[in-house]
Amino acid sequence: MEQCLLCQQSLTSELTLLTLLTGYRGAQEQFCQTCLQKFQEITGPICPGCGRMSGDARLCQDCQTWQDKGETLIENRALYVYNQQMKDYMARYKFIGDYRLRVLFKGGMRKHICRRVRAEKIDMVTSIPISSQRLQTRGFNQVHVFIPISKGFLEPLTVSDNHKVDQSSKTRVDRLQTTQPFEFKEGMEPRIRGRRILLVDDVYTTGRTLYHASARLKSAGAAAVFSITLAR
Amino acid sequence: MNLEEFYGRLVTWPKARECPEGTVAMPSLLKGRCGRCGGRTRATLHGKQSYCLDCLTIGRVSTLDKLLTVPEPNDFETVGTMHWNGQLTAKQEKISCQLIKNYSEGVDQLLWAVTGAGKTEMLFPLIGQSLKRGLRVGFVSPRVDVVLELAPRIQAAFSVSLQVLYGEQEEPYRYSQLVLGTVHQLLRFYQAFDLLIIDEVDAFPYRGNRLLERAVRRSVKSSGHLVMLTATPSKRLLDKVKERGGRLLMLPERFHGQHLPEITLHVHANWEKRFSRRLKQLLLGFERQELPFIIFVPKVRHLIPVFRHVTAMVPSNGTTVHANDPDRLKKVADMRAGHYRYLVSTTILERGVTLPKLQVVILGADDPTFTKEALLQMAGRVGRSRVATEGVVFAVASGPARTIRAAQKEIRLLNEKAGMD
Repeated sequence: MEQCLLCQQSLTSELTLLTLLTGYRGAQEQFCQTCLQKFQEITGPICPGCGRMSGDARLCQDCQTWQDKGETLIENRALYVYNQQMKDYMARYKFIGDYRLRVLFKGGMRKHICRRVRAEKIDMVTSIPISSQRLQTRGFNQVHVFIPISKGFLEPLTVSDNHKVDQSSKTRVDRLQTTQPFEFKEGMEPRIRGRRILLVDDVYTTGRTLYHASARLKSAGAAAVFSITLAR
Repeated sequence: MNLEEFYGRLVTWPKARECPEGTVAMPSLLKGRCGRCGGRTRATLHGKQSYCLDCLTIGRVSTLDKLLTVPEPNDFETVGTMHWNGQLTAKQEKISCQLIKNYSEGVDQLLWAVTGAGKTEMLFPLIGQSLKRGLRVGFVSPRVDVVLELAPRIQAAFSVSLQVLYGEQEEPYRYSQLVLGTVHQLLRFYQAFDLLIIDEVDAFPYRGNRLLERAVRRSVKSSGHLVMLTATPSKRLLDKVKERGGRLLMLPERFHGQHLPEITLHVHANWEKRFSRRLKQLLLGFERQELPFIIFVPKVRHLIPVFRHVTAMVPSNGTTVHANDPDRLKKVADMRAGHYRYLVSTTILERGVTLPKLQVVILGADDPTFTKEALLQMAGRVGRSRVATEGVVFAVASGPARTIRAAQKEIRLLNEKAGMD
């Protein structure tokens, strides 16, 4: 009996000819309706800075602060609200490392990225890098699977050696005080000049990480930096 | 990391990191089987790496990791002592001595004692003696509720370094002579225990789970032995114990010497829609006499309708409980503290709940979810304290199902047997 990958309840899905012949099962067929419904999609008016849901589509307090600090807003767009269900998902996918869960948002994120690439005339898509140590223990970068390779994927950044502490293990104040953790891989810096770049990450919490990455890219002459995250 | 935390454990450790000195490394994948749980279902990671799906719930073991252990040295700062001075009845005393004798002779044993026989107390002398000799003792159960109920009792009876382990707990692991926990936690142990006690061996999820059976065998030292406890052994379990050369001890009498309460069958098929007059009168009677009660229902979807029926009749507080209820443990604790008069529950509470004067109603007792063992366990919640040795076990069903008959028969047999010797 097949089980939902999130709650382990047994699934009763209809057998399609495709599954019967090839064994292929679509992403939605591996999760139960109860689990899927708990994810809340972001719809309606949003804050133009960070992409969170807001009633009046005006800039939220946090984005105001970023603007006051002299940052150009990265116009983040997110697919889902970072609610309890999303937190549980992230805990299983990222921290326990259940790589099977990638399929759940793969299609949605890819579609979203493609649409944004067209709309903003983007010529390079990149992800927030994770430290090599973390990559070795986790075994995968959690956002790589969301990125369609054909849209000019390049990973010019790495995490510098003295920034090994995870953002998610810090408090809000600590997170905002983090110093620039990213540096360029060898020979990557010249390739950034004049490019319109889309950053992809899993969760936008305070925005600190994304703004650091954006600042690094702009310092190398990027024309514009935008971002997309799975959750806000 | 302290080396003590590796004693008799299996710790997942990234291959990329250097191992602490003195640890022994074991492969995380051997001949297609997970090095921790022995399971064979795997999922792939990026590249050629893979991880085990069978023990994913207690943390990932992937081919990027290795498993570290340090052979159990029994190196405790202080050796535990018992300061329990309760009195065992003559029959309990006899069993207790037999347990010690069998253990020293080096055989595994199964203790079949009826619900409310005082299984835990009978084990105290054996545990006490083992602790004094500097042996490492594990006390596990498949059910977290049972573990949590046991913990304070054990804590009160012994002064010993003690660690309670279960899934949702946040405290980090530390080395201790006595380990209490759920059976799943044994996946993280390797040849650690000289004495391992498994309470409620016939309960889900341990029952018939080969992964956990393997974990149990591996967590015991090659020189160590098992003691299994149950009130409702399946035939398979009895056969298996016999086959492996284990010994069976039996105690058909409760500690207060009174009989097990018998199951009253009330035939009423339409309980989902409305309660019969007899059932209503029974519940109102509980309310009048201020008796706490549990209503068992077969499925989660029955909880809310039944709860509505009861709230319409009974003014006191109550709530519903099921296995995936996040507040389950708290609700049971509240019930114990007297904040609730009644609970509407699925089979999840069939074990480990001990409340004085508790009464039990089983709705849909002929449903296949209620096995004979489950019915016996639910009936066994009643009349467990010395002050209230009797009570009502009221089964509502559309007819006398085979399981109900079998349970009634077994209770009668056990009661007869208790009367004989």
